[in-house]
Amino acid sequence: MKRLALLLCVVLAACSNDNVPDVSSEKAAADALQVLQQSSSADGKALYAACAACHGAKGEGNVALSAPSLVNQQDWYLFRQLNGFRSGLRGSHPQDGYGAQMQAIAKTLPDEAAVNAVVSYIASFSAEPAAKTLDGNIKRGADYYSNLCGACHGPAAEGNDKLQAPALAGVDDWYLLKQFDHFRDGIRGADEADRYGYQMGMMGKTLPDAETAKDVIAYIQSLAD
Amino acid sequence: MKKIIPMGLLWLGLLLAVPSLMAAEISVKDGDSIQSAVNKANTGDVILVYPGTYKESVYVDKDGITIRGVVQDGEWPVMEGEGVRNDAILYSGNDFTVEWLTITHYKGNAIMGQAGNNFVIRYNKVIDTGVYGIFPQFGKNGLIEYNVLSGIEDAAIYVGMCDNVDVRHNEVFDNVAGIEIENTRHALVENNYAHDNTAGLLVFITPGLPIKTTYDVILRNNFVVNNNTANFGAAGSIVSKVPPGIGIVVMAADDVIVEGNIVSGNKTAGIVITDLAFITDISSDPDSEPNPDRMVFLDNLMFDNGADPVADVKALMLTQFSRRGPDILANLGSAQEPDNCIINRERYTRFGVKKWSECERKDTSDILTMRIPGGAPNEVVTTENRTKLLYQGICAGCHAYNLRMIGPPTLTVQALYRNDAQGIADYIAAPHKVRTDYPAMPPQGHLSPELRREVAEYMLGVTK
Ligand code: HEC
Ligand code: HEC
Ligand code: HEC
Repeated sequence: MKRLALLLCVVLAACSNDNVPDVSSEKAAADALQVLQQSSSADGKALYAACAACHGAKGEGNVALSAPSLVNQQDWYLFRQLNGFRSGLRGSHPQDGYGAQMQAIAKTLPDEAAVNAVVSYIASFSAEPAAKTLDGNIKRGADYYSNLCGACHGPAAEGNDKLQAPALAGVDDWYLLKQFDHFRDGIRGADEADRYGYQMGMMGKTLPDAETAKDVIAYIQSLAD
Repeated sequence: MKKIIPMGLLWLGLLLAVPSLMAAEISVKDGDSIQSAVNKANTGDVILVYPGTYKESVYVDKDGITIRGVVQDGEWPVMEGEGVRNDAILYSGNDFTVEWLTITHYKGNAIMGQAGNNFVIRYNKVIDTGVYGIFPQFGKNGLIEYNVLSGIEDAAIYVGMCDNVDVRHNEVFDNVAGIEIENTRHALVENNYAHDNTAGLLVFITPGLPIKTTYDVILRNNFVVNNNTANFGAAGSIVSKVPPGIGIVVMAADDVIVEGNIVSGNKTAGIVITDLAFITDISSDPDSEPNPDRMVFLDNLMFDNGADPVADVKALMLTQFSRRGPDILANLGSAQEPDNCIINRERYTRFGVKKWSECERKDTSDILTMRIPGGAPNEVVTTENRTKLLYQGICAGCHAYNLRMIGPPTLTVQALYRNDAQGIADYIAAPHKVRTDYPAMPPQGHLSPELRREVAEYMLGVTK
């Protein structure tokens, strides 16, 4: 039965199930919450101990738990996302299971100082582009990227802090594709109060189909090599 | 109430000029400013610019002004941008003439028109001026002749969203694009010498602009030679995707006649006829039909093209067991259909023209000009259509709906400035640099705050 459901998921390519954390990831979350509830310090390293189970000891991410690498992101973006989770701007949509999980964890960070501290600690890791997992038509992807995405994310997908558009190159391709789909479908960034998420939500509707989105993400992945 | 406003006052920047009965000549000497002469001038006046160096940008927002350089003993008046000024001459008035100037080192355009009709641009030397050399946008009835332009990183002569224009006797070299006829109807491109550009002559549609079609264009008796310069267009811009080594490109344009040209030494192909997919896959403008239709290819002299084609063309040619590019390349798809025609096809090396029919027309000697006898009537500008004209005449020259042109696509601007027209109005008055890979946006401070606000609102509402 479970296999059938899984198969259906693959065939339909969009089923809400893929967004519900499974048992092992729920356990990791519970552990993290416990660690965080006990820590009150603004010691980034100590706080990060609660993140490592999912995001990896060196911030490299863990695809089995749907947790992205954090080392290829700019610190201002990590900071803003953590605050977005904390305020409920991100991770509140009923279909955003993993977002909700991360929201619960972010809310347990004791205060702003703790957010700052854990981000600074993550910033001390060295960037390491995530491995490629998707195939797509890179040439076609480059065409769409340079016309529609580069204006905010930059020519090499290096991000643009003036526009608060994050770096994409180096971030896990499976994660980027999923986030793109979430923006397109209104699972992330649908709240008008989420200024930057809403911007990206508008852009999520500009690619003609899912195939093109994959091409674009495959192109972004190729920029990291 | 709907009020009629004189065309020249599109920008509403300067004072209303009272037309005088007698046309006057106003002299500008080295050390004077051309702009102050324009400010003083009335309709019909001729501004004589004597040899000297003029370091300024000149805005002409009145009708019937002529700026005429005076060349003495080989000494020209020079407009010098010093690599810091954006445009040399920007006009929005009707019946504007500019001639006998040397223009160099501007960052944006040498001569740009924004919605003026009946323009004449001739006898100018334009050297190394950034994005476009001569760029009439959104004007009707124009003449561009005897200009020499080089070193421009997009198009040397760019006729954008115009109607009824003759482009004759110009020399364009060392540019990315020599002469571009884009989203323009009724154009005659004749007796020009286009050499050593990335591509020589281009007739095409850019999707996502307010004018959606290009048709009725004649390319006649031009020299289109050795256009093999590496593409030095701004990375990511649409022109940067033009492959080097092409004499003539006809992309998505309809009813184009090619006759009497000498096309040689272009290393990819002599002429490429193609749909929009040649440059980009993004042809999602529902109003721009992406296929080139009813091309008429009459007698031309073509030889020695295709010596070393770019990879895509080489791959295509390998299907015909050749490594060379052809004189004529009709790209896969509709460009190969029999609504296109040709005569004496056996003279050329060719790809994809098998199904083309024989032309009924054998020459175009019955057509002398595309201009309108007696000139185009002045555009009636009202308080109601002014904003649209402003957007089409100014902003759409750089911002297409969903394509990257010079500026970011309108779609991305809409995402960034949703519900914030004032933010746009403020930005365009004094733009700061936002993107590393885009040029700076030229300031629009000559527009009044109200107009900036209106055009910003218009931009936020554009849907295709
Ligand atoms: C139980 C696993 C888990 C733990 C523990 C965890 N995260 Fe996450 N985190 C996730 C998942 C899953 C996502 C992706 C959410 C989504 O799909 O929208 C995520 C997303 C993020 C993001 C957004 C990244 C981006 O590119 O958008 C940041 C920042 C982040 N986590 C930081 C942290 C920090 C800091 C900690 C420790 C305090 C932490 N996470 C602990 C699972 C976890
Ligand atoms: C108008 C500017 C803009 C454009 C254009 C744009 N984006 Fe974004 N994008 C953003 C912003 C801002 C964010 C961060 C959203 C947030 O803070 O939640 C973002 C986030 C993303 C993310 C999530 C990254 C992460 O780590 O969570 C992906 C994936 C993405 N964009 C892909 C794209 C693609 C693909 C395109 C082109 C189709 C594109 N973007 C075009 C502004 C833009
Ligand atoms: C000569 C070309 C050109 C013209 C004409 C032009 N723009 Fe731009 N515009 C640009 C370029 C280039 C940029 C990108 C600048 C940067 O990123 O530094 C830009 C950026 C913008 C932005 C985005 C600013 C931001 O914060 O990212 C807005 C809004 C804008 N233009 C509005 C307009 C409007 C309205 C008009 C017409 C009145 C106009 N532009 C005319 C070239 C042009």
